[in-house]
Amino acid sequence: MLPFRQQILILIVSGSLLMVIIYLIQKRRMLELYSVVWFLISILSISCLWLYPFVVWLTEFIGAGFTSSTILFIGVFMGLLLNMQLCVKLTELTHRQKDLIQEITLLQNELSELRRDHNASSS
Amino acid sequence: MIAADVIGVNDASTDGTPALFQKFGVRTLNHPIQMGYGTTLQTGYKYALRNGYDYVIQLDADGQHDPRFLTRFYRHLTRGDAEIVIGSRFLKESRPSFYPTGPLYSGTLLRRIGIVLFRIAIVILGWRYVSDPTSGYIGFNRRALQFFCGKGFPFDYPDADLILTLIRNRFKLMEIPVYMYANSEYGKLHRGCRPLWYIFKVSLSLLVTSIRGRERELH
Repeated sequence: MLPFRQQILILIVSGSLLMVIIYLIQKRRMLELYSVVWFLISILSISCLWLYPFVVWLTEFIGAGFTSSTILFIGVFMGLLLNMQLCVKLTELTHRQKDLIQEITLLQNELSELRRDHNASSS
Repeated sequence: MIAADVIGVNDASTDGTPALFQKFGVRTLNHPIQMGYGTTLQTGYKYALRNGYDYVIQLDADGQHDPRFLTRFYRHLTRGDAEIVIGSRFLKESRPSFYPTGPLYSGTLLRRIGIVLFRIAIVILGWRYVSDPTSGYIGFNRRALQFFCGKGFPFDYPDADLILTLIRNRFKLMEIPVYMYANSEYGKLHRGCRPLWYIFKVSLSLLVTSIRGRERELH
C-alpha cells in the first residue's frame, strides 16, 4: 500500500491533469484525437493507487530497486509514446502542408496565366 | 535546335531570383512560403505532369550545372537509352566537344567522403555502380515524372536515396559526363553541422529504402 501522503499527491496531480485535458478539449484547444495518450497517462497515474501491488510485482520483475524507479520508468515511457504520436502526426501534417502549398503554387500560376490571356484578348 | 519550355520554381526566395526569372521571361512557379529543396523540385514535376510534358531535365539555378549538356540529356531520353539520365561530374569524356567555362565543383571534404560512401552503399544495396549518386542534374521521361509526383519521392532532400529508390523500382538509369561548377555561395546545407545531418539523413534513408518494397506509381 502506498503511503497516504503519496496517495493524495497522485490523486491531486492525476485529477488536475485529467481536468486540464477535459478543459482543453472543451475549449477546442486540443483535439480529441491528440488527447488519447494524455488520457492514458492520467488514468495510469490514478490507477497506481489501487494497482500498487502490480507496481511492486513489476519492480521485482524488471529488477528495479524501488517502486518509485518503476513509476519513473513508466512515466518516461509514456512521455516517449506521446512524443512519437506527435512526430507521426507532424509528419502527416508536413505531407499535407507540402501538397497544399504545391497546389496553391500551381493554381496561382494557372490564375496568372488566365489573367494574362484575358487581358490580351480584351485589349 | 530543340524547343523547350524553361520553368523556374521559386521557393519564396528573397535574393531577387523571381525578378531575374521575370527579366529573362522564364515562367515561374512561386511558393508562398519556403518549403525546401525537395518540395520545390516536386512542384516543378507536378507542373510538368499536369501540362503533359514528356521529358523533364532539371538543373539548379545557381549556375552549378552547365546547360550546354541539355541536348545530350534530351537525345538519350528520346532515343530511349534510359528513363533517367544522370549528369555525372566524375565521368570524363575522352574527347570533349566543349570545355568548362569556370572553376569546377570540388565540394567539401565531408561531402566528398559522403559521395564515396553513398556510392558504396548503392553498390551494396542496389547492385549498381553510380559514379555521382548526389547529382542534381538529371533528365527523365514521363514514367519517371509520374513516379516523382507520388509518395516515393523523398521531398525533404532527395539525394542518393532517390537513386536507390529508382534502382529498386526498376527504372532504366544511365550516366553521362557533365561539368558542374563551384557555386559562389554555399547553400544552407553546407553550413555548420548541416553536412553531418545530411550524411545521417541520406544514410538512414538509404537503409530504409533498401528494406522498403516497390513504390506504387501514379497513372
